[in-house]
Amino acid sequence: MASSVCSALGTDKENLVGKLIAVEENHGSNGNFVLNCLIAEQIQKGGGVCLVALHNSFGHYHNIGTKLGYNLRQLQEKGRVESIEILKLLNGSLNTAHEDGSEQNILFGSEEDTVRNIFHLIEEKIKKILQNIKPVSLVIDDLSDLLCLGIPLKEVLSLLQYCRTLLDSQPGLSLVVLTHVAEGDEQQNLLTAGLCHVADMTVSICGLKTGQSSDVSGAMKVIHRRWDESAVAHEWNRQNLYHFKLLDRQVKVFAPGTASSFT
Amino acid sequence: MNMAVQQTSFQKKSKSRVPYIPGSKQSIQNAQLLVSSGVPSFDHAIGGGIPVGTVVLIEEDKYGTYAKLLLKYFLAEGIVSGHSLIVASQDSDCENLVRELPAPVQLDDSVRTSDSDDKMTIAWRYQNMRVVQSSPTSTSFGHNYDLTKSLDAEILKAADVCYWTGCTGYGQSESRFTNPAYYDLLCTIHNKIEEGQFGVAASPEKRNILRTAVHSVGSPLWTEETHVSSYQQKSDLALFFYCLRSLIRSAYAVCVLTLPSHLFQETSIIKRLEHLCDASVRLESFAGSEKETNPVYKDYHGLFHINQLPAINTLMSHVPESFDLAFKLRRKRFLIEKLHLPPELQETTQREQDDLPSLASGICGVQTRSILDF
Amino acid sequence: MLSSILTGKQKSVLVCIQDSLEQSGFPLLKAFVQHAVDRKENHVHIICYEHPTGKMKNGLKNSGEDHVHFHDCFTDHRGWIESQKKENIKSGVNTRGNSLLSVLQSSLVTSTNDCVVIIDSLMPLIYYNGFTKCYRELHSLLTKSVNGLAVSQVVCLVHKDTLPDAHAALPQLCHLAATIVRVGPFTQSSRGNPIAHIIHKKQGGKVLKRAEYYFIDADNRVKSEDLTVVVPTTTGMNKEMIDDSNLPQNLTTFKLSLGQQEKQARSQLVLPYLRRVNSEKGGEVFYQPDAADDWDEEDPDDDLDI
Repeated sequence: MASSVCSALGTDKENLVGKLIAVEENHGSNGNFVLNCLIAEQIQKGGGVCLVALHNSFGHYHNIGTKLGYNLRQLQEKGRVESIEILKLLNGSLNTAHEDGSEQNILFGSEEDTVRNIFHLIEEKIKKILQNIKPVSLVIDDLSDLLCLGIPLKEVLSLLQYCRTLLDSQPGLSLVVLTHVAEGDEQQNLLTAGLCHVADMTVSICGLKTGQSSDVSGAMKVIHRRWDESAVAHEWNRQNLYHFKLLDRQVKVFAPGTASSFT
Repeated sequence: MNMAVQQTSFQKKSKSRVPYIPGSKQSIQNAQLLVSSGVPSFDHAIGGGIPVGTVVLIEEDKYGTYAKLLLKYFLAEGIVSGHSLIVASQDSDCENLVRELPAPVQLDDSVRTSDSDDKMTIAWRYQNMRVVQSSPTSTSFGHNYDLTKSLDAEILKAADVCYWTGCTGYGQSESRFTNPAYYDLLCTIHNKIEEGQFGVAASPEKRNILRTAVHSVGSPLWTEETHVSSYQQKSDLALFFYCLRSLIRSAYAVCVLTLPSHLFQETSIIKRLEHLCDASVRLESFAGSEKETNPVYKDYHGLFHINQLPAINTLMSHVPESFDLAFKLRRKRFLIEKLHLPPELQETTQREQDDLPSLASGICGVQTRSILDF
Repeated sequence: MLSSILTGKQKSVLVCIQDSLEQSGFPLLKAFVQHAVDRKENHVHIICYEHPTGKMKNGLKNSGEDHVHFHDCFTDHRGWIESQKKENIKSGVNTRGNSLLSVLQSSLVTSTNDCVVIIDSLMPLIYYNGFTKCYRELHSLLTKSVNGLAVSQVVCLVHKDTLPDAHAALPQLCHLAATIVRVGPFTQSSRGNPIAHIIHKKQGGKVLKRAEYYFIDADNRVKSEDLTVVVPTTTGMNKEMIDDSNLPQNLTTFKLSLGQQEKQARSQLVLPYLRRVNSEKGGEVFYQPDAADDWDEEDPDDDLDI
């Protein structure tokens, strides 16, 4: 179910601990499935997940999870899954301006404070979950939403950098960050480039250039970066292009041009 | 938010976790709870209906008439289904909008009216038979509305409608918004959700849906005089949409907004707003454009572009049969369908291919009258 | 030329490597570090802003030696963790001081020899301290001596695509730098190796421009060769410059071209209605009479009385 995506990414064979996977969701496509599949794989391997949900509520991931074969709510009760629901925090911040200075208030106060509070929340949850279980994936969906919150680009990049420091300071952690990018949006483009420059693997999702198709939902490009090997050009930036089709309970991944009618 | 019931192929007869709310139904594809937009063909185009907990963005046509109409259908459907409403606008008079809401078409009416499209030539015996009503309840899902009749004043009075036409006093200068109107509207909605117990976490006696309609958000009236650049207007809009998303996701609510996107110079802000919504469509009206006189489009009033479809609680969004959709407005029906060529009226052998603009779907040509008639 | 800059044969006070997502300049930067470390005379200060120091140390030979100093400006770069410990939430002051000067000033090493400063990425500096401040600091590093440190060379890495206002900032950086190395992905003539466009301003004032492809081995040594661009033919078409992104083959995922087998099969195909002409006879007419034809063997001219 989630395995075709994971084998295309190579995450089923590779050890992701200490690594950052960037998911670049281009406007006009939906890259959510990559996160769901990576979560599925981590659960299946017996690991834990810390989900920072900016774009959807926890129930969304839970519902998709039930179709992919796992129950996030139950896992959360058991301590294998932690979540930070930013939408809930935002909801709570509305109409509560008088409680300024509260850590949970993300709509008021300085932007740096907001981002710092979010980081402290993440750090807390990571430390908590790593006591119970290893390895753990920190999944952030979606980083560009912070820009919509009015947070300047440099603060968002700071948050990203602090999350990366966790990769060193907390052994057993891997990082998956999704960001949305539309052509012409300078902030989003800078953010995406900044993220991809420091990532060990970039998964770029976009719609088909030739228009809509009922056989293919979109294209997926997987780019691997090898920091430790000598910089032979084609090894450094190894790219693989796939097409994928989203179905109700699974995602089919195939080489471009080989889609047969699945449905 | 958990709107879907546990996925099993075996349907249990016992009470499901999702309570029955009048005017809503479960999607056949993924058990997501849906409400009708008030236009059955709109519901069909976006996959059955508007999922509860989502935000729909309608990019207005140039003169805004059809977008406003869609909003009216949305509100009318809410009243007919007994839902609570919030109507917000700085451009138009909200109370007037509600007073002018159309009445639903009665069942007997829909059978008697013979649209030239509906005339059956082969199965003419069935022409006068009653249309089978699939759902027996009085508040069924999705109605057609008669624009010549207004909704009964008594029903309107009994309905729970809340109006917002500008700052009501929540304006908080310390919020990240430069224009306090946005924050004010958000607080209004937030309060209504709390008071009416629409939140997912709340446990009211009887569950109901909250429909929020915002007309012409982001119009020039939403620009503060103190705005130095359009950047602030855009960042306000993005923040507003994001907060709105958090509000609607937390409750049994849906929101439909219309936005005059043709007034925006940069498309990047529209794309950001699209991403923050769940469904996004754009209306393109032919009125006043060269397409009005184009014979290909003569049966329609405009084009219906789908930019995004909801993918909440599910991996895949609905895949429509076609993305080349057009709409036409009838007195008793707003119809969105696949763009069809007008039927050929003359028999000629000449094919005119040069005068027509290229359309996405494969169209070879339209036959017109020619002197070379054999 | 690249190798001569690396070894120091060509002196350069500020080397600015510019890369993008298509080709990273990090390995090249590492090669600079390696060369500086191997030279052993000078102290080498490696300031890591964008990556943990481990990433730079990984694969570097002799990195543990005394004259090599790593500065970690990656962890806690905004002081969030520090300020939390001191329970000073409102602290907007950067407690550690991440600017170039403060990092080097706080460095305990004093030396009269010229030292080499290598910065793993200017981007965090530019974002948090502003471009102008960063520019000033680079400039002052090269001109004044800091805490007794005399800087002989600064090597830094800049990502073109994450630089805000790149159209303004990049030329300014190029103005300051003595050497600009723009790395790019491999091309047809670079034999699979990444390419580098180098602009070097010599101390005398002469400006050298080179295009080379380079290869970095496992010991972080660089070999570079001149990039020979295909000479334009008389028709003015440069093979390298043909933009094939508009060819239908590259726009669609359908397979438009023919494979080898298919080409063979095509050549062997016998077209219908085409008979093999026997060329010895000269021209021949093949006529298939159908049912309606009245084939008469007689020559109608026989009736003529001439």
